[in-house]
Amino acid sequence: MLNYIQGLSTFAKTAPLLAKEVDDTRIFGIDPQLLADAAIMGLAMMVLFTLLSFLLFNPARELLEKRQQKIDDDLKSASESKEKMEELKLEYNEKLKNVDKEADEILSESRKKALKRENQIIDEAKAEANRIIVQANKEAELEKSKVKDEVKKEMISIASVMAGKFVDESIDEKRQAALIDETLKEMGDSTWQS
Amino acid sequence: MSDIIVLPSHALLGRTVDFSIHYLKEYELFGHKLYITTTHVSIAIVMLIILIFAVCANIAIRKADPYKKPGKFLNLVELLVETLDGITINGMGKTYGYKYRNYIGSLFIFLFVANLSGLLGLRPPTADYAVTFSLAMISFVIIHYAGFKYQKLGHITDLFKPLLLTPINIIGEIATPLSMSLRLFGNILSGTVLMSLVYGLLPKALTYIVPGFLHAYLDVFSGVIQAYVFTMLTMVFTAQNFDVEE
Repeated sequence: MLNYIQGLSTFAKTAPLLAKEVDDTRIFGIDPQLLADAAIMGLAMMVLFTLLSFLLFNPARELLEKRQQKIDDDLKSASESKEKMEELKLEYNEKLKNVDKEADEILSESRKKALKRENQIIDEAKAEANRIIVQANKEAELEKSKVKDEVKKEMISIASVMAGKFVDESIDEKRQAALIDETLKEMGDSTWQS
Repeated sequence: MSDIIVLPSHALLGRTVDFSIHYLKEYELFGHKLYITTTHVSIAIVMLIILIFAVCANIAIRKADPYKKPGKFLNLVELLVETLDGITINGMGKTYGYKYRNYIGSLFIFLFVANLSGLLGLRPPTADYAVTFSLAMISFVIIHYAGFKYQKLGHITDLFKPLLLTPINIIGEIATPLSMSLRLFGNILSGTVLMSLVYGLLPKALTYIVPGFLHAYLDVFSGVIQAYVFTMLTMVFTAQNFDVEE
């Protein structure tokens, strides 16, 4: 302890002496050196501020802003497409809901159409059949009247032939009967039956 | 006045403890004998470190495609810039804060590197009162420029409210840069003095182990805190003069 105090006192005595030996150092002083150093530091700070603004802060911020802008745009377009998708989805759902209805409609419509067409075809067929029948009847009628006319003509010709024969040979009753039979035979059965 | 202390031989083997600024080269300005000192060298080295980083960052930014994922270094740069911007905007508000982003950012980066430069074996530039005084004066100018810009004449008339406290108000304004500069100077100088004492007084073998913890506190912790405090105070005093409350 005593040694320590002695040491301190020796230090206190020697320190100021040593101080005089070296005077190219300083720690603190309010003198022109302070002002000059402060001015140099101020200048250095301005240079640093300018260079850092130019090299670091402004370009970095620009880059960040660009990226921010891009992210914003992406998010915006993403939300827009999402909205669009939702809309489309709604539309599709609506459509899907209506599809059954529509299909039913189409089916019933086609059924109706088919039925209509069927009826039409049947009607047409009936009409055609009627027409054919009427035609056939007409033709038959025509044929009948034709045949009648022919028979009449035949009968007339037969009568005239028979009359001629009667006149040619005024003959007895036996002969007459034989003549009629002969004539009839000549004409044939078919003449009468058609 | 000397700051090289040669301890008495029986106290500790006559080892020197050096924590002072050394004069390197003499020059004359306006009839005064002035010196280039180790502080200037330290400032130059600190600025060089910062500028090399800035140039690398600039190259990385130029090369970068803003529409692609950034690399590690670019991420670091972006983090740094965004953090500093965030601190400024938080401290000064959204309305005018953005105008001061670059200066506050530069100031913080300089103080940060300067205060940590003790780790590189430099004498921290901020352990020279001229440096802290200069920075405090710049802050003083910024504070009062904002005062006149946003408060107009009110910035002067506020000094006389209340009239009785006028001297105290004026002293308060002048004290701001003094307290800011002396606080930073004192903190960093004390760290420097303590570290050189430890390096000077401990047996050589122990200097490889013990100072590690002290560096962590005195250089890193204290240095970073002081850098933050200085920039924070500049921001707060400037923001006080804005015409909007945020």
